[in-house]
Amino acid sequence: MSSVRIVVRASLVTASIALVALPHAATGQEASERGEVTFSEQVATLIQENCQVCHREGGMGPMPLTTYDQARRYATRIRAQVASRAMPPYHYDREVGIQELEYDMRLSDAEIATIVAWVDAGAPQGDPALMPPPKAFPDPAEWRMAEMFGPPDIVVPTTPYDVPASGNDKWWEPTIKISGLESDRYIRAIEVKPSVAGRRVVHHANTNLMRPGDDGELYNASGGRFTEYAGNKLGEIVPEGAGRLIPADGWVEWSVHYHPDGTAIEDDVTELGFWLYPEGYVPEFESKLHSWPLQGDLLIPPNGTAMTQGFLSFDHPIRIDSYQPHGHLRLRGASMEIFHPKTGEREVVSMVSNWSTWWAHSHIYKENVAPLVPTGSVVILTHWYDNTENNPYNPAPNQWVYPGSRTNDEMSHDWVGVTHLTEEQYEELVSLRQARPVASAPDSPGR
Amino acid sequence: MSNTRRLGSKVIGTAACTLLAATPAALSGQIVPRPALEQMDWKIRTIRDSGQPVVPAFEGWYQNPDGTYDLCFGFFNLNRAESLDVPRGPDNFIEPARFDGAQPTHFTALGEGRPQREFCAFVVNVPADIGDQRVWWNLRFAGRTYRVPGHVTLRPYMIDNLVNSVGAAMEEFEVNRQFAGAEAAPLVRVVDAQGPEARGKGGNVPAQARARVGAPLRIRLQISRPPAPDAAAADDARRDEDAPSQQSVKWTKFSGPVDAPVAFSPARAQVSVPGEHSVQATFVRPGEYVLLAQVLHGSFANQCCWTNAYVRVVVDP
Repeated sequence: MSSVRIVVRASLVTASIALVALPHAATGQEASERGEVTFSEQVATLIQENCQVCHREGGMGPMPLTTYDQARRYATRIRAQVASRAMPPYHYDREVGIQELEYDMRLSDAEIATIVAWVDAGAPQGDPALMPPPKAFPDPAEWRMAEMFGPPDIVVPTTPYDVPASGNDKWWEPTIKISGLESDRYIRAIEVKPSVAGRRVVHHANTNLMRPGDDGELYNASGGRFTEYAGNKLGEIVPEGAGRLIPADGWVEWSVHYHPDGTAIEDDVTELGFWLYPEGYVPEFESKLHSWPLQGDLLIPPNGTAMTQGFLSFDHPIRIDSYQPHGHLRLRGASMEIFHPKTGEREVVSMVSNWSTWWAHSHIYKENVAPLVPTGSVVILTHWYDNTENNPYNPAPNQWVYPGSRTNDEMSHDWVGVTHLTEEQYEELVSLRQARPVASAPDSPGR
Repeated sequence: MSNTRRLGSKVIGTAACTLLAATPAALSGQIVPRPALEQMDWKIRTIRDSGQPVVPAFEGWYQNPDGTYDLCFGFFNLNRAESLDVPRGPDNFIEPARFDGAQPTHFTALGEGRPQREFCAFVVNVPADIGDQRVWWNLRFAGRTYRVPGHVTLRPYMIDNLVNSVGAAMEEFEVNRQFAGAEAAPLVRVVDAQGPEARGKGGNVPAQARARVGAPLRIRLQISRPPAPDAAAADDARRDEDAPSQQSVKWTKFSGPVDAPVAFSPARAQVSVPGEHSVQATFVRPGEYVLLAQVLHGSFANQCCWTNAYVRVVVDP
């Protein structure tokens, strides 16, 4: 166990050093010294591309940032949030593990340096004539994946639920017939979409896929959870060549966990959208979303910390397509490693050392770097929990914290997208990789 | 904890190393076949068979109709096999002292299976003007104090007592109603004993019973649905009349003499509500006991909904 602690502490330290060094990245600093960074010429585009999707009228951000005056007013806060990489809220370590990710929201060092230099120079506007044209955004109530795939082929809503302003967490668990499917189909992408108002209070929204048995009763047809949503997650995209089957006679069993936050919401509805592969499509691979548990006895003392770990291996090869840690308010960091017993090698695949329950992204690996795990290798999952005052999300450092369903209790599992492979498929994918070397990571990971 | 015993599916690495170093076969130089590394399960443990403490839990708080508040406390006995008795006093007390006395003195072993704490085994009723004052439950084991504060200003810890979910216009949709009904703490009455009906975590003034050592005491519970709070809920209730809900009953010794386990038959049961549940409690020592029945409709982990029903039993020799 000691080796685990050493490896990960080193990773955390590395990440901290990287953060300290960020504002001094060359491009922005040089621009600052020349006094050339202005809102109109450099910063407005960055804010349009990276911030305004939330920070606009009707967006989920607490203030709009669509004009120079708005950005100038919050310039100091913008600097602090961006330089610390708290925003954009994609918390995935840059110095450890796979960096080539789909839909990566992180800013590059140069982009951060530009914003920092702009604020440090007094947040100058520059020539308004050089402002980029306003960026058009879809309605906040629209599907986020619609930009990539168009409107979903199938939508399964919950029945309406009245969310109270305060009180105990709520669980809304209706089971809804899937309508509109005439035959079994394979899923290309999935998005769970809370209502605009509901995004504040939907802690998670999970589903099971159900099918009627011979006796007419409904049974779980997905072998566990079918989909998972938490903390503003975008959704899940099934890798090319893989598929997840949705039967024509299927039902969706919802479990929507609400965490009341002071404002009541009437008739709240969460929706599940499917984008389908064409009829007749037969995938080469079987793909599943797994909930992989970590095994420690999760019990966190007042003002204390805890660690849990999970170890998984398979009797066949797999490809790991995505990684999403799950915990609650005391979860501080999470990692996924692979240990190869035959060689003794151990590699960190992903590391999230500044985790937040409010931003639960599924980190989707680009296909050419998605980890290929041979038969018998061990996937090692680790979580670190911080119940001290150092954790800004901690509501009560002097309480014992236990496993439980409420946001104030804790959980310890990861959602991992997996393509299950035969030995032949694995060898074929390895050969393809060897024939197509991975390019070195750019300055801006995944961008 | 015995190093030779495998708990659950995982074993801590250091414990496994100790085991390998100490086995007679290893000492004799024999090659012992063992599973490959990747075929073994590994686990970090705080829960053991014995020797661990009981740690308290502040579950949350709710306000009563009269304006007072109930602070809900539970506990986690970290021993699978060892039940513990800690009499009220310097090792088991609530402060301020005016709130002392509501807490349990018996902490039942976890048993096997998925570890879970005892959720909200008792409440401390505090006045409406309690403000930010903390109420601490303190437990001491092996010279170390484990304590939690309960207070009503901790808003994220606000919990429901009687009803968790609300109804919706389910009939408009093609919906399986199995999971859609409201959960509500049931009404529980101890039959054949003096005592009022109980509902919610605050429980009842304990019903009274008398027993003899070694002679099973039969306790019956009458469990019913609470009255519908409004017309819509009444409609739901009428629709559900033909489908009694399955609720669970769990019995534990709450307090009593030290080293005096109480055998319940059955300790856990499913009961159709409305309906009746019967248990036999057998005592090995005389004295005064309090038994706790938790009748659950919903989920302990979700903090709703259940009723704590207490029975005070005087056991004669």
